[in-house]
Amino acid sequence: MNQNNQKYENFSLDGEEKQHLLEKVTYNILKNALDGIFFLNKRMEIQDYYSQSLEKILGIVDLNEKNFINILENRIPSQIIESTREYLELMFRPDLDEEVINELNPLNETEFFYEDEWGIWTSSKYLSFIFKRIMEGQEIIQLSSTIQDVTERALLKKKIQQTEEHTQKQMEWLVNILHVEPEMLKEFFIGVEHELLNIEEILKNAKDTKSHRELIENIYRSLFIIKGNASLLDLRFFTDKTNQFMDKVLKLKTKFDLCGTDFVPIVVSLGDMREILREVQTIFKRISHFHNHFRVKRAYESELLIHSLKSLITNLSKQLGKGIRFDYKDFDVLSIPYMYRQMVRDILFLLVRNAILYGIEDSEQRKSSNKEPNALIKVASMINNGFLGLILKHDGRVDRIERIIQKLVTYSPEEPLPENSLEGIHVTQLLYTPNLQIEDEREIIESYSMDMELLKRKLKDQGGRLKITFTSEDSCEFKVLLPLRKNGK
Amino acid sequence: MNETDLHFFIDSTVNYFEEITGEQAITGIPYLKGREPVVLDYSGIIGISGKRKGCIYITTTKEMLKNIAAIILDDNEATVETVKDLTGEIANTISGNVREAYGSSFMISVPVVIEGRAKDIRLPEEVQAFVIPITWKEFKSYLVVCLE
Repeated sequence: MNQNNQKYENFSLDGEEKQHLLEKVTYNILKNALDGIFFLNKRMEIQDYYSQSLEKILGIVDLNEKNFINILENRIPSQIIESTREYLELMFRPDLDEEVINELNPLNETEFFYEDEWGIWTSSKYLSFIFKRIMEGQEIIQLSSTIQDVTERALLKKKIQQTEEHTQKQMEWLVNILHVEPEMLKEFFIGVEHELLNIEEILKNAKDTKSHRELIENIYRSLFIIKGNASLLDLRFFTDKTNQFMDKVLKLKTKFDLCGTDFVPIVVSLGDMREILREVQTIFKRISHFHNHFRVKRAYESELLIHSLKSLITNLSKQLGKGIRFDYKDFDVLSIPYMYRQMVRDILFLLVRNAILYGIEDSEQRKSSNKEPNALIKVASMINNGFLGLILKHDGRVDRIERIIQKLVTYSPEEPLPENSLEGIHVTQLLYTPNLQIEDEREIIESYSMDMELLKRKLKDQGGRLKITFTSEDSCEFKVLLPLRKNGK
Repeated sequence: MNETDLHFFIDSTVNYFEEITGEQAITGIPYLKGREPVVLDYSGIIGISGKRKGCIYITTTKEMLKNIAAIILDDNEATVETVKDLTGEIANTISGNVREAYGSSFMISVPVVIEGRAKDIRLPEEVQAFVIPITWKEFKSYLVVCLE
């Protein structure tokens, strides 16, 4: 280094011609260097000999004599600008060690923002500024600086950091979804997407404060469905997240004088749920590349509904210690129009789930009632008079429902009941009534009535209807009719 | 985006109306911004960069701005320039509050005022945007917060 300096000094002292040559070399370096090169005086002004690429890197033309600190303003955070000013002042102090001061360089790697014509930051680059003293004897006369565009490196570093942060969480999710059949998972995603969209619409279309209570009920219902489906598939992280969300909704349920800001936790939770769904779907997409069976044929896809129902019955009956036979020989999946595929799935899932949860007894109870130890759930479909008909029949007890109805009647005297209140149609009406709750059966009734209320609404939207018939003491039939042509089309 | 952040932006905006006009603004139910545009006659946009990136904007109707101008400037015939300035001032107030709250590690742009119902205001796609309807008197405006 010393030898080089010696050469430089000898060279620079060597006549006008060599001086001219040196200037030419310097000019070529500054013109062709890819890095930004510039020199700062003590007033922190950029000197007129700077590299051509500097203007391109900084996105500013004519930098001659411009104050470096002023250039940084509005391009990097003011906190860093202030540190830079202090750092550069220290660099001009000869009593301080350059190497030590350089450790403090706040522009070592900084995100530099570029404004558009509106003054809005539309892009950024990561730049690395390196400063070095230029000495004349013992005096520091200037600082030389080189700027490198390190965007690629910085973004990669950031991505790795983010990936590391996410890995553990994603691994947990991955382990949690691996046990679920891909097609069921896909259907679960569709269901969650549908319910989240429903909540989004509810919030967006909320016009006045009068409807806040109804709004909360509707949000709660959608979350209840998500939670139910997540529980069925044993997706714990989703169940937990939904539970947290539901707790926030429950808090609102008990609050009087609701205002718009009370819904902030709801909309933030909704955002979180959306984010989780997006991330889990990304994981799912990634792993699906490794599994050929994730890509199913259309023929199989159409039979998936039965497959999913079978899985639901198997899992839930096992969980509850109930024996159930599933009869679907009169159910023609291919007769379901595409527009109703999701809806039919939702309806059957809901009815089957509720039948298992609330209607069908366990094997021992059935034996003691002189019934077949294994209950029967039968689904059938038909097309008749322009309607698609769906039937779900089960031979579980109906006395539980009756008991619920009786308690409801006792609990809510303000709800007048018709004399023949235990007829199927009135049972249905009662089940459709939200918010009728009693202490010990609270959850059962709440979930049942919510489900049925939601089903009623869905059917109403489509111009369909539902009929519940108690064909005998030990049998209950749900019949759903959906118009094959909507809105008279 | 967490609840505290969102509350902060809402309070800053709502307080502005009350402080300036003496009349309280009512916050509507917030929702997630979808693909549909949320743009009224005049919009004041603030860009945020640094540790967290994003943007906040308030979009209002001409009628509302004219009403505010009538109260605070005693000007019943507010010109286009006046209402534009007023939009900028609302955005600037929010911007000032944000600057105060978030400190110098953030970069907060000078408000940009957009006149007319643009197709939409483009926000970073990967960041969720929250829409907060605000009603002052009978006039509607929206605060849109999109921050990492």
